[in-house]
Amino acid sequence: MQICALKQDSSRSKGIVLFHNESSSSPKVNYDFMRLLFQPAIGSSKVKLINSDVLTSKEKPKIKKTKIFDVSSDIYKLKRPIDIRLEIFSDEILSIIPELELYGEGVTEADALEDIKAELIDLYEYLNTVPKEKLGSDPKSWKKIIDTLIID
Amino acid sequence: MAIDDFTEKEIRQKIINKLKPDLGGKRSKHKKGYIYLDGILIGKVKIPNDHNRIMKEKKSQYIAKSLKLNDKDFNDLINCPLTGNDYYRKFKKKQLIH
Repeated sequence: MQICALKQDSSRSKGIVLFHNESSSSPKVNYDFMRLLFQPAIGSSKVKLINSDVLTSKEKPKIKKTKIFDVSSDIYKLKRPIDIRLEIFSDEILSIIPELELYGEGVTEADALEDIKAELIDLYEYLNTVPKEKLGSDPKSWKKIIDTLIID
Repeated sequence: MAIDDFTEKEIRQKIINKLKPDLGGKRSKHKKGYIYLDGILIGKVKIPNDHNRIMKEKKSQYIAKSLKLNDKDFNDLINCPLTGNDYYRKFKKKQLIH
């Protein structure tokens, strides 16, 4: 068993991520054993093991579809559920509304969905501050779409 | 051609410094840059945070798409050959073509 990199993920304060390499020449990693091995060294921190072979900027995500039914807001409501495309990477999830060219992100699916809701409201509020005659063709079509999705 | 590996910080700095977008977005974790050409809102882009982490290619592609740039032009924007003025000139030219 060989660990190629062991580091604290600076993007997350909640846990420690162990990056290991699981190449064909290395013996298969026993995750439970690794957790037991490193748990004393890192006290009560959560341990997450990620295979560094897949942690590259070129990683291909798994795709999943879901819907949001609200925007987690007291001010705004959705007129209808919105389809969300989830792109699941080993360390992060993207939530996407393709027709509005919007994406949210998070470590968990729930985080990613909260972020896309915030993105949606940000866009709605911003477009409402721009006079119609100052909207280019894409922003005009986003406004048309977003007005069919959100009510104050 | 693929998008090169850039840090989130590099992409953030080049978008803000070269394109000088109107910055907004108070609810989500990231700032948004709203891009104007001749006083008309033509696009928006999600501004990455100030991290030294390598940006996932998929996210760089979304940013490039938001900016209406192909992979090469996006690389040029971040690597430097493409200036802010070049970007807006290219955008104007594309608008005339379509």
